[in-house]
Amino acid sequence: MESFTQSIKQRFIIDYQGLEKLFYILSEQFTVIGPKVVKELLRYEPLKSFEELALNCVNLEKAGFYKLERAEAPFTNTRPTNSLKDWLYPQERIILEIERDRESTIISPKVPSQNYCFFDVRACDLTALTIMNRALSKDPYYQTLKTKLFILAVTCKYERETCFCLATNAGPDIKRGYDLLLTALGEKFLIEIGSKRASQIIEKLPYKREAIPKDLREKHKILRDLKERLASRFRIEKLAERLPLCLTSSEWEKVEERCFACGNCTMVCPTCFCFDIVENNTLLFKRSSRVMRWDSCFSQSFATINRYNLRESISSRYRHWILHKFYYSPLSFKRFSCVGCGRCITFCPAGIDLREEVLRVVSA
Amino acid sequence: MLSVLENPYVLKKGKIYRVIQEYEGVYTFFIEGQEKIKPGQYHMLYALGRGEAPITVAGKTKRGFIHTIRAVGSVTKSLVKLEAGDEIYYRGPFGNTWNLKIAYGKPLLFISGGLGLAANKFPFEVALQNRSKFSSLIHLYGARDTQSLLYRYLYSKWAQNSDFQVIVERGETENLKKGLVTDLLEELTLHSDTVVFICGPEAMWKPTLRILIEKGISEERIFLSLERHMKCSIGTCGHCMIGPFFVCKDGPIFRYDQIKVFLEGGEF
Repeated sequence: MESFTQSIKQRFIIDYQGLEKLFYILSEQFTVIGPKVVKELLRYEPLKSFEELALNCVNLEKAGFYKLERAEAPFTNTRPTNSLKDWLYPQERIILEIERDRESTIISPKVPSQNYCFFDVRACDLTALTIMNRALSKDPYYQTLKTKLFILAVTCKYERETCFCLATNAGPDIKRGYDLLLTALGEKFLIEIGSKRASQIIEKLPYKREAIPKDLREKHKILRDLKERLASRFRIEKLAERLPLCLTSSEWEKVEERCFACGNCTMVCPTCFCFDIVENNTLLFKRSSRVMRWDSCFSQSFATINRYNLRESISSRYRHWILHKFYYSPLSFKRFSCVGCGRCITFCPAGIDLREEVLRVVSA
Repeated sequence: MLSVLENPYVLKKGKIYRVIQEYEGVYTFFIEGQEKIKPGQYHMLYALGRGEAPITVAGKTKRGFIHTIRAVGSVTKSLVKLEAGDEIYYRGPFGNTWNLKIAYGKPLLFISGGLGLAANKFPFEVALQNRSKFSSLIHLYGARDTQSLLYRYLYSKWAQNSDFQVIVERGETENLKKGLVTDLLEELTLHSDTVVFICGPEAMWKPTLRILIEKGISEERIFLSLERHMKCSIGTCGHCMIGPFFVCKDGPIFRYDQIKVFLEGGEF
């Protein structure tokens, strides 16, 4: 996909009508998942019609705060509240079914058959997918869905107070990993093609013209301005080098009093992949389903063996979570597994801002 | 290309052909199966409707492999009810292996505490079979009391070809030494070349490591088998993490210097 992007560089301009047409062309082939307003939240949900796609709204976010309002221009919002892992890696699913009758039998679950199109994926969530691809490389369910994915990525125009994709090298530029990349230029949309099948889809669009240098300059200006604002909001200089030196810092303990260990942050995190496996059996123990279920490293039982919890204190669980994102992941994945989407900040009931926590630890 | 991966959670079926009760609540199961297993590796044993538990392979036989299980949680309490002739479901083997080769030509020291002997038994038996490859072979084993000694039926055989020492902490000693495994260790004169394999509870390995370092054994020659909460056993579910390591696939055996900071830092 990457080499393809560089080789053809096809770029078109479409309008609102073209976007609608594109949506329905994709709907014919895929189950389209995109941002939809549900109970005053912007959420990734299956979209039955173009009208359901949330285009003109703005999500206001800060630590422990969320509000959705109407916006004048399309794509003023940032990423939805839930992440794409909801669709590729559901909260609960059966991984094995075992039946015991006279003869013991084992029934493996079927592989999923959905063809998903993710419509409106932002830089942070796109980077999160690359992390999940590796973390769940042995998961047949995830991998089956992933190979069939069609991704329409969207360049962010604005940032929220909670956004820090630039600091984690996850955005705001989108350079690879998409089939189509859309950038809203006022009332028109720049479409960049990233795969052969996307090229075939764009051919079907009647309403389009080829992009001109002025369109690209407009896109670059949007990104340049956005980067400037992101850079002024938050920076972590040499975090990868500084954090390993602070493993046993007493600064970690300061979160103990504030964190409820509710696990909200890990649920909304697009890269938190930890799970539990639980048994769901019938009363007479004749049939049992083994169920994979999202788990959180903040839960009491997560690291418990024989009633002994290896991470008894809440601050040690918080530290584990942060270190996993910013220290352990770079050792194996060569990048932070935090993408700076800021969901954990918005949805922390105590309003804990991981940027402040990390900065305090490394600055002490 | 669309390739469907194999479901890593599919269970294998084995048949139990012999059961030995070691002591109250602890049983050794002999299971038929011809797969390749390396010393130190473990299986995920499954109890219907209860779940899985990671259990170290405590040796190989001509017909298959051995597991020693202590009834402690709901899974193991259910597993120990199995009898000879019953089927047992499992996944694996998983995990890394003891690096016996690193000790070739050098003294090899095993230190086992309590049920940790089950994990050290397999590599120890391999070492016994290849006795000439090590300049000396010592095994120190500490148990709570004489009632909780594992594998008593093997001691005389083991002692023929190695220096196998047993110590019990309390109660009647039946002519055995009384004290902790660290007392046996204090008495040893160790060559600085010695390679050490440790498996036991945290209360044992903490003072053990201190004494070994005092005796001049470098951290790169000390290996530990760790116990962690495991669910998936393939390095994805996150439960068994210690620092950046997934104990289920990067371990359960670690070289001391590689995990020292996380092992001793507290709550990692």
